Amino acid sequence: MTCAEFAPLLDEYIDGGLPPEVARTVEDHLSGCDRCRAEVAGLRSVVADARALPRSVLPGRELWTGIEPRLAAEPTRSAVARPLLIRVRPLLLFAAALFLLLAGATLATVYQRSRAPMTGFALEQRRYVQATADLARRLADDPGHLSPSTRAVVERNLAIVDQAIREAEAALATDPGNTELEQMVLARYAQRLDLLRRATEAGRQES
Amino acid sequence: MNDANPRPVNETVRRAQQGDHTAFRTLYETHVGRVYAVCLRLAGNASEAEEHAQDVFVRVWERLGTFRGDSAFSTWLHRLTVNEVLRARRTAGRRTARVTLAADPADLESAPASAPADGPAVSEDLTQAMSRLPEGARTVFVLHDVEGYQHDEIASMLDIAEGTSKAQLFRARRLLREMLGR
Repeated sequence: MTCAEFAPLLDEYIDGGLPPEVARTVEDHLSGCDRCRAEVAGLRSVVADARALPRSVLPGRELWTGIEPRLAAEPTRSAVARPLLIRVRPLLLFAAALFLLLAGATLATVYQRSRAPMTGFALEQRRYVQATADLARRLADDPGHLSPSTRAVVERNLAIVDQAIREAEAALATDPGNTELEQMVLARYAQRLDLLRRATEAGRQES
Repeated sequence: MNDANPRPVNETVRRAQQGDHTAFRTLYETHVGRVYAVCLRLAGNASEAEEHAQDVFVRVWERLGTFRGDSAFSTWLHRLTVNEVLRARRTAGRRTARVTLAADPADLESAPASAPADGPAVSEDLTQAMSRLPEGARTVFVLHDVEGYQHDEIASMLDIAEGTSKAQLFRARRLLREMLGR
């Protein structure tokens, strides 16, 4: 192999990512090639400097004055309250409707407490909670009469969607601000809402 | 990172989650140096980094309710910082508005909170050289060699192929070696 062929391997060699037999081949080449040895030494030096950079660097001016006026009255709380809504798995659709009604009332209180305008994901999240609470009220007012088989289908689908929501929320909790994950969470909220809407319609048709 | 059992949430974080501005100010003062360092290296210039850091803390405030203690607060904050900078950079308007600022490395790292093992001069040289890298190469270099992310994680964050991440790192390291005369 030539130096040009070894070049693409040197980064992974430095990072310790090569299989042992390939690493040995690189080392054999390095032992007889001054140019590649110098390149490895130079690259190692750059990487070592990068790893030694200070973890903390203070900004040249005070940033807080530009932050404080932008803070809402309270941080987002819906994510703290939401597990009550999501994690309880109803035995029956009507039990779910009753629970959603109660949870919706609690979340509406949280919503009213938070006075400041919100944007982006948090706003969408709140809209979802509101829409779910509204639907729960409608279900409670006009529950319809679902057959046992339809109830079973609805319960099974709710369980699947709730599991998907939990997984997406867990991923977002470990990777906050990831817009793709936020979209995933919102899409699953919408899926849950759609499922409840269709269940409501089905109940009306069966009654 | 994602422990099976969530850690107890720090009292200051808990108070900030309840809407306590004083507690949030304490969190800001504790973490601003780390957040700014990440913003500065990803952005390549101080003015953009300052703006990113402010956006990050506003974002943190908005999302505090989602922090459940699955990881250390500093880990959660670090990931949010990286995501926020990358998200902002995906906005075409902001990126084009800052092209001229990114070309000026003179205002970098005005006040390091602690000196690296090799002394401030080495750190300054490398930081200035990093700011002259093409954006893609700088981003991957910062995430991989400074912040310690793996190629698969970087590929996911940047929505690129793992091979592209490796190619950008290859390019960044050689450009830096040349600029620094190593």
